[in-house]
Amino acid sequence: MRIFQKQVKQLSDEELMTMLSKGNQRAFDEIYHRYSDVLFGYFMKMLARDKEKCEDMVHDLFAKIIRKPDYFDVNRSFRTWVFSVACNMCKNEYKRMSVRKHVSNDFEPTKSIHSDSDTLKKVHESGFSDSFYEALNAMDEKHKSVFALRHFEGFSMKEIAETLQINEGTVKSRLFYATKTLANELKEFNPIYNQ
Amino acid sequence: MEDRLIDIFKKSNFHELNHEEKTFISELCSNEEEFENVKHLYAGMETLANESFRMSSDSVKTQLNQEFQEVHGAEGGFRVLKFLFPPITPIHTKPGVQIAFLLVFVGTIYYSFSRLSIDKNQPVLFSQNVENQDKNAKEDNAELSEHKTDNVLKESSELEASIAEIPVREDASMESEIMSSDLMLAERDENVEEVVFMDEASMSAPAPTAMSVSGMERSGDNENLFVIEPIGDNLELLDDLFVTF
Repeated sequence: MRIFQKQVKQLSDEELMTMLSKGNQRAFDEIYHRYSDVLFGYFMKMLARDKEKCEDMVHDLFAKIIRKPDYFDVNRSFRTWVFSVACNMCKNEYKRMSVRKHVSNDFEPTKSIHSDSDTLKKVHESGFSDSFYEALNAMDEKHKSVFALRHFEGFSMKEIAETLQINEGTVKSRLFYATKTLANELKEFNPIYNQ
Repeated sequence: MEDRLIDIFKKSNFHELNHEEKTFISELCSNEEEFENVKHLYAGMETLANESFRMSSDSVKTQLNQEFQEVHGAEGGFRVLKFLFPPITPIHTKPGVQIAFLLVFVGTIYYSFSRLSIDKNQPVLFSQNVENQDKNAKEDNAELSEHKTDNVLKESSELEASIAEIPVREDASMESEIMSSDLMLAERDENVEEVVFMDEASMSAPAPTAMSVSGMERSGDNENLFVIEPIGDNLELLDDLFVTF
């Protein structure tokens, strides 16, 4: 048993996916062990730290892997593939959230105005972490995902381009734009300006 | 490239940068203020990198294991059972339960239709009844027609009889009229009394029917029945019939 476990741990993600598609439970356990926390952290950062929602997203993603393992191309990197799936799930969630926001704005137009002023207050009062994620979530999805993949998941430019299926030049420009925007949003926390 | 950029922001200040480095970072920041903002952002993100997220609940893994067993776990005959009754899906979406409900529904409809006394023999019986009814009707019609024909025959015979009586009487009356006129004419003759006697006798006697008339015509057996004697025997009677002026 131990020999088998060692063998599973030594296998690459792609080999594990091949075994998983044939119904190997241990391969699935290993894939889950490698990526569940990473994906949960990614969703937490991308979806304003809604824990229950992020757990549901992780569940849905692994359910897709179980039910449709053939969607994965074995010749491709599993890491970039699974994050591209996660990015698409985030996109869909943003769309749902924007619809809800529009609906709530239709019924309570004054509340959204107050929420903006509340947000500004919170930026001043809360710590850097909260303000950072708030600013990150305020950005549009394409800049946010590039920034998150680069700085949270440690993806290279090439991997980001492969994951999001865009060219590297676009990745670079989006990354610079996101960095400048966040830096400008969080300059209040810079000790130089507070002195 | 990106790693070098981060190194520049981490290790140095804006005033320490050489021309090449300033050119390298020019896309990201063009002045000291922007440089300091980006530098602070990267420094802050290092603290965030230590922040790790772990899924605390095991419920997700348990559900995923069940789903995995549902998709891949069953083998052979159990695969069909697993397909019919998958463990995770709600009870109303399980194919086995849906098929069971469908069978119950079909059975209920069949039972209810059978209870509605829709008998397979019914059309045969109905057709037989129709045939029997037709036979009975024919028999009744035949009886009725026979009865009617009998009645009609009877009636017709009675009618014929009555009709036969009427002209005879008329004939008789006509004859009597003729006879009376003859008698009136014959009053002048000498044999008036005999003729009157004969006329009274004919009047008092029952009127001959058509049958009797026909019988009289056909057979000469009952010649005695004739009130008036045949002329052939007594040609003299003809003389009495014609008045000579």
